[in-house]
Amino acid sequence: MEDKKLNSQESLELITSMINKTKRKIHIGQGNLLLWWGYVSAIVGLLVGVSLYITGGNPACNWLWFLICIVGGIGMMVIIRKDIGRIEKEPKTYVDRLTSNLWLTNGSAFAFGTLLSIGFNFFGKNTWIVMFILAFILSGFSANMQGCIIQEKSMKIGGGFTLFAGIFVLCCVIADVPLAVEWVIPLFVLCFVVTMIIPGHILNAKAKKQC
Amino acid sequence: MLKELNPLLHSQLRLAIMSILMNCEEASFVYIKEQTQATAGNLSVQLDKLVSAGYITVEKKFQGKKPLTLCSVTDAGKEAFEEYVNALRDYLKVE
Repeated sequence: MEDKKLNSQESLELITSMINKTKRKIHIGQGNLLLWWGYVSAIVGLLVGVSLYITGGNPACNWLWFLICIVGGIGMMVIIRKDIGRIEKEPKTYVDRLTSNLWLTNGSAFAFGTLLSIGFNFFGKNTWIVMFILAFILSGFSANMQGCIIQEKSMKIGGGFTLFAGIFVLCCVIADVPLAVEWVIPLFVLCFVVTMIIPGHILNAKAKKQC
Repeated sequence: MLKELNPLLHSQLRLAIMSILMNCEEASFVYIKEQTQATAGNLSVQLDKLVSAGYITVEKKFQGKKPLTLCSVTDAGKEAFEEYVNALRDYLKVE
């Protein structure tokens, strides 16, 4: 392309062609972060469930939940670092900014909830359940919103399901309905499968098809 | 009487740059170069012209050890581009 003058028809064609070229496309690996968090959460959920079952409900098993933050956080940094070249090279759109801020808010709210729970427990008040409920509500809401933004039906449905499951668990806690390991852990795992694992695979498959 | 087309935007490369930046919030020099298939030298010159006119901003930083130049359109640039497209529409109606 050179610095030549154009007629009005050529100008319009050029604008259209540049807009088409820069249209946001799904890229390979877009679903990787979702898959990572989804698998880590589901596997840790299963691990906690099995540990509680084997130990007859020893509350110390709940410390295993922290594996989601530790393993998930470290893995996320590795994935982002590996992908940084492509991320920086590609143009940033309004949609990119919106989705990254959405998940940043989600992560910050969860971290804040965790810190508050630690603080309350320090003073002998058991508030660990807050983290459990936040995991449902925050991830469900964020996934549903991202699904609406990027127009991905599986994320909208999966996120909505998890959000409603979170509200249901919250009602159970308020109504003093015991959260039995037999149903609450499978529900937790199912939620992360439908919110992150299935949409993550769908996004990656769509990206592969597009390339 | 038809409005004169903005001479700064009425050139192939500068118009391509502005069209790309109107469609995204931020794009790197490398990306714009790939999309426009312009030479680095020519692209730099045209980017400088758009910066001087206040239509775009260029931010230079480092990504690790590699330099990274990011371009984004300003409010004045958006306004100029919209005016240009409106004027273009009038020209096409006449033609």
